[in-house]
Amino acid sequence: MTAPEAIYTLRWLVRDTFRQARASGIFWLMVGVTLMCTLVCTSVSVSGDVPLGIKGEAGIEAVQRDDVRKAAGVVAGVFGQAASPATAGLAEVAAFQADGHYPQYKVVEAALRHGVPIVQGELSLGFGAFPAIEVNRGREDVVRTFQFQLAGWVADAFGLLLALIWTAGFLPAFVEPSAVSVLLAKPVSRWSLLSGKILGVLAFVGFQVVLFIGLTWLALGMRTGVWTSGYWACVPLLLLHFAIFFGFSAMLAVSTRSTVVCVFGAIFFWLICWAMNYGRHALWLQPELSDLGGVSRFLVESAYWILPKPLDIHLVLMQAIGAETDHRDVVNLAELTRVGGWLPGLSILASAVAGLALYVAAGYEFVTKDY
Amino acid sequence: MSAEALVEFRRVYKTYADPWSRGRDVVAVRDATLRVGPGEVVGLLGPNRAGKTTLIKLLLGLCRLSGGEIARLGRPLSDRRTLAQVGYVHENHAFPKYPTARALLEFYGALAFVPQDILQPRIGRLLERVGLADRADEPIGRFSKGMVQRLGIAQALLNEPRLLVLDEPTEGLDLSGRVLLREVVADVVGRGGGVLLVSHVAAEVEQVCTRAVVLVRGQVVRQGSLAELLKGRPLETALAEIYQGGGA
Repeated sequence: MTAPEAIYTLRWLVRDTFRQARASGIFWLMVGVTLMCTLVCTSVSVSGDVPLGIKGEAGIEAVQRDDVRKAAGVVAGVFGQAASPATAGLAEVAAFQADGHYPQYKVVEAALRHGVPIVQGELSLGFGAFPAIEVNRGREDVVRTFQFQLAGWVADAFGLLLALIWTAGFLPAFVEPSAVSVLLAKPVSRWSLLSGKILGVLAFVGFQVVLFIGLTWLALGMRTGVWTSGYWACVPLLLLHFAIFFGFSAMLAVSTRSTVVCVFGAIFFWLICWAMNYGRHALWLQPELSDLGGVSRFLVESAYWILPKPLDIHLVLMQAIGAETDHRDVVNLAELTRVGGWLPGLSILASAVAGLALYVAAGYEFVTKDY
Repeated sequence: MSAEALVEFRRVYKTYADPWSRGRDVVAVRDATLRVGPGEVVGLLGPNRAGKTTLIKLLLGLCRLSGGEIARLGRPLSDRRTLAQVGYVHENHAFPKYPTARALLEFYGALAFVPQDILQPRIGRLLERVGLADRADEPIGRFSKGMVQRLGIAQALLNEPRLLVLDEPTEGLDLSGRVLLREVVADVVGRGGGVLLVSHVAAEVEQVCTRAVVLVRGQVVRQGSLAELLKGRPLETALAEIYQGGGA
């Protein structure tokens, strides 16, 4: 089979998969979710925020004490540069966030009491139909937070599971013996048949991701005037996340030809990987677990590096958007970085390699199987 | 192997691993030798589990050879380009339900590397021929079993095959469908091609086959012209005698 023939085959299989996606309803369902989210974005407005910048810098010289500088850094970390270290009372603010888990309203109260100029803006949704939400940060931070809700939760959690469940039936139907026999009797290689079908699913999901990110970015940009480039990094990250777990679904499909096994297997695998990923970070962040035996620690580290890492993809996505300062609840990334447990580039690479291994296993099974 | 044969099996073996018996393989085909030449319609006959469909699967590359040699259109099986000149009708087509009949034929024609300028008019003619022209733009999910089987015949003819492989092709076909199939076989033979047919329908075999190969428990027990096989008897009687005699 020549390269042009292989490309021609892949093109037709991708086209066929898009047709299948339209017929199954997932195409229009995902477009519908995208349009709904875009509509929500067009209804967003941010008002009352003030231009950001460090104020009262003259006061800094007068209070050059280490504890105050540290507290100022903390407050700046929480509220961005809107928080000025213009007052010596910042130590009280710092006390509230000593362990990274604090009631934010108390920090805000303390900061305001000590004259730290917290941004007092409002976020309104539904073209002002809903009561406005007070936001203690600048316009760009509000947009980044909103983008993280969209990409991190709507797309990376709900969208990913929806796509995994809905496309889980595509491959088992394709490799069912009475369906695939006629295809295998065509002058195309088995590799190109399976690759074409998988590529078709990935192209379909990629198309939906680009549509989702593109339209919500455009809507938010037009409404708020904030045009963030980091949001576009979500496209490859979301697609990678889906591709890895679809690889597991593909492996199950060629082995068992059962849609039910693919649906539950892929979700179960995702949960296992998520739990493994979270557990490993917890191990690094909990001092009380540091006395865990060397063998146990080695096993956890091995499993972490071998398995795909969905939580890490989620965290990298958060970092790419620049929303990390607002979302310390999943994993304290700053602390994880400080203790040397956060290697985002290597983590993404290892996840991609794990995904690739799943596709190779699926391909080998398909190519060597008797039909 | 002789260059003029469209299909040539020589001392072919196929074994499957049996998950229920440790280390013991199931022999599906044992030492099978047969050929299909140009202008021939060869019927593969035999009781259930005789290995007929396995031979077809081996020929089409759907499963791997355990021993022996097979040549397809004078080339080894590994040369998949020869499949561009082969048409295959499965006994029970499970086409996807979402495409229309026309879209399905476009897809299969493309995978058989039929050039688009030839493919498009040919699809129209084939849909007309199999009686589906008026349903060409309907999703296959709405088709009856007979209509799906007619579509299966149409897809096998997209590349105007030199070799047509038919595995129980009349499953679900009505009388006009069976007539259509006989015409298709005659066309392929008329173009100098060959046909390999697996069927349990005695009348069908008697009407279209020029030669027959009888398999019992994976072994070729008799082959020759239909006249030699029948010796004036009805086919079913002749086959019953062969099966009881184990091929002797």
